[in-house]
Amino acid sequence: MRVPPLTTCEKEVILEALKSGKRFDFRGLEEFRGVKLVVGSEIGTAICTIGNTKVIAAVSAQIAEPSSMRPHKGVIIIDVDLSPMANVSNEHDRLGSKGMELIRLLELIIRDSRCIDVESLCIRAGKEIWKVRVDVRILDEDGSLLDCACLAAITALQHFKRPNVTLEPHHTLIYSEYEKAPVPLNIYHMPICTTIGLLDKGQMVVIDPTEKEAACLDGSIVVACNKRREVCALHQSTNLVLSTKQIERCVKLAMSRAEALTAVVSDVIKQDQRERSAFKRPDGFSITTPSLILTSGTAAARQINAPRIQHGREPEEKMLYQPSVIVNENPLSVGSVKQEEVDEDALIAEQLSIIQNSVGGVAVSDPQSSGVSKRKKEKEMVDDLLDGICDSEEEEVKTEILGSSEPMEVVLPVVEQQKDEEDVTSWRKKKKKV
Amino acid sequence: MSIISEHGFRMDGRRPAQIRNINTRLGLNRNAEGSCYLEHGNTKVLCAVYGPYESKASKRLEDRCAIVCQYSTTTFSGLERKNRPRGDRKSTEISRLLEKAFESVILTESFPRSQIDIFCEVIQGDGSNLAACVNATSLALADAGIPMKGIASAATCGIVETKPIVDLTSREETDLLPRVTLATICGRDEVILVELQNRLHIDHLSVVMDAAKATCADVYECLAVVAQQHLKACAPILGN
Repeated sequence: MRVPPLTTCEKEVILEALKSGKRFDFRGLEEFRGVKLVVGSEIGTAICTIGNTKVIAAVSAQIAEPSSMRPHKGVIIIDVDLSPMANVSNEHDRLGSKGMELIRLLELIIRDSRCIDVESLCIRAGKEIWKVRVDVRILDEDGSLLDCACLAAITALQHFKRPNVTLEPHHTLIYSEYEKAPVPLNIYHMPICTTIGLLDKGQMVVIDPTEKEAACLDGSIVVACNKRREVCALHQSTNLVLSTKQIERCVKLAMSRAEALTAVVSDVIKQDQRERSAFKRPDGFSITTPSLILTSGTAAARQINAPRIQHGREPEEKMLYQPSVIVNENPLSVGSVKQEEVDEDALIAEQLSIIQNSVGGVAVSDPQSSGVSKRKKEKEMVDDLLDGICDSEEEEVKTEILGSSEPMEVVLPVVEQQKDEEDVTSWRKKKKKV
Repeated sequence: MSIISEHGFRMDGRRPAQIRNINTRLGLNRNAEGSCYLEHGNTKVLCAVYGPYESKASKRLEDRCAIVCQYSTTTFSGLERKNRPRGDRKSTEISRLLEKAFESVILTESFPRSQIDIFCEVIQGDGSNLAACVNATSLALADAGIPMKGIASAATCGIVETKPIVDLTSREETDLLPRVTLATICGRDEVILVELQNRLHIDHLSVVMDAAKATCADVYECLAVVAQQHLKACAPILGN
């Protein structure tokens, strides 16, 4: 389906605004749109959003046979699909001239600029290599498509880790992530791409044009740079005539942008690594979903949202002050247990004694009752519970020992333990009976 | 192996800022409106231009003419034998670059609803293929008498240790050398095509650009002479 061209009056309005230095999204001419970068819970995935443009990139690796020309080099394949979801003019599985340009530039930026160490992707020269595949999918399209796609692909590559392998004489062992830690790719530098629109024969610069603005402009130039002040790609993407001074000016603009975005990418990756090393479940793409989509009624959304925010923080605190963890692992840190918690534990102990008493009563009355099987079940459950509680009680008592060593309480844990053992043995006996 | 020797010469005996010999012949193909055979040293390109003619409905543009370019290399053109002459990513990319470049050179508004076909065939590839194709195409277009803003000329330029070298051969291109292909109109500061390969430090950019621009101006001199001579040779036929 063809997209209807921009109407003449719309074009005129946009051009007039641009010439007076104004834009419809309240930006200045040399101002970029905000970039949102999210890495997924799956390793090697990333979503990048620039304004309304949205691209997802996923990286995967498989073992393949190398070409005879490059027997000791891994392969990087870039796959782009412009789905009709992003723009009605796109056709699924068929790249138009726009798609071809996009894929070729991505290849130029990611593969030909040698940002990934392909030698390290070789497992056995001439036999086995890693074939890394970068799938880029355009989810939404509103200008600066290449910038967004490039950023998503680079982030996904940074995030990706390939499985670890060891070489045996006749075969290769591939380890799952639970056996050996996966290996990240060797990335030398991060090329960041910037689209710069040009107006008035290149006299005016319109940075990061939206789709409508791009339709009004004379043309645009694409510059890919990295943090080390190197230009990785330079591409005059439409038919316009420029001077070399203008090109150099565009490169300088792109350079400052690249430095800022490189910091963003490494921040995102570092934060994700920190969360993963703390065994925290990564949020993944769920945070990109706006709450609007979750709602069918408004009240429901709030119910979903409110506890979520709390969830993020609480587990950390709990982990920190969990008495069982502290007591078992480092007795010296007992002093740091909060007074409140000690009180709480004391409360639990009190309750426990009450329960124990009452349960004891039940146990006594148990054989007299007629519904034996039911009682048994109940008893089992209670015993089970007791086991758990006794454990915690024991720990609690230990803290007290360390805090103030009174001879009275030294006896207590032994008693408790005996009790505990008794409980366990009795429970086992009962189980045998059942 | 260094690209520039200690005495300041390159592998084929040229100075860093020296271009290879340019040989041309115009009007080889009788069926085409314009055609050109061009040699840059050992890089040999054949180019034919058809049109402008009424275009197919799918490619028709109401306000200007469509330019369709096909770049292909013969299977025996490079060091390794190629499986297919065109259709790979690199060829389609070069075709598209040529299309874009010549859309801004040809006065496309003068032929609405029509089409111009450009066919470029690299017979022997020895570096600077894209630049040679641009040069051959602009001569072929001149031969066809298609109105242009000027004759476009192109050159590939690399940099070795802060020193620019121009008109690279394939032996120089295979290295990790950063190189820029620049095309300008009439050797002026009007860039219609810029393409960068490998990484280039920003401080070297202006050096390379200046060298490439100067080379484009030199190449333009050569092309302009060829076009004028051809025009003079054709003058008796045209009746002047």
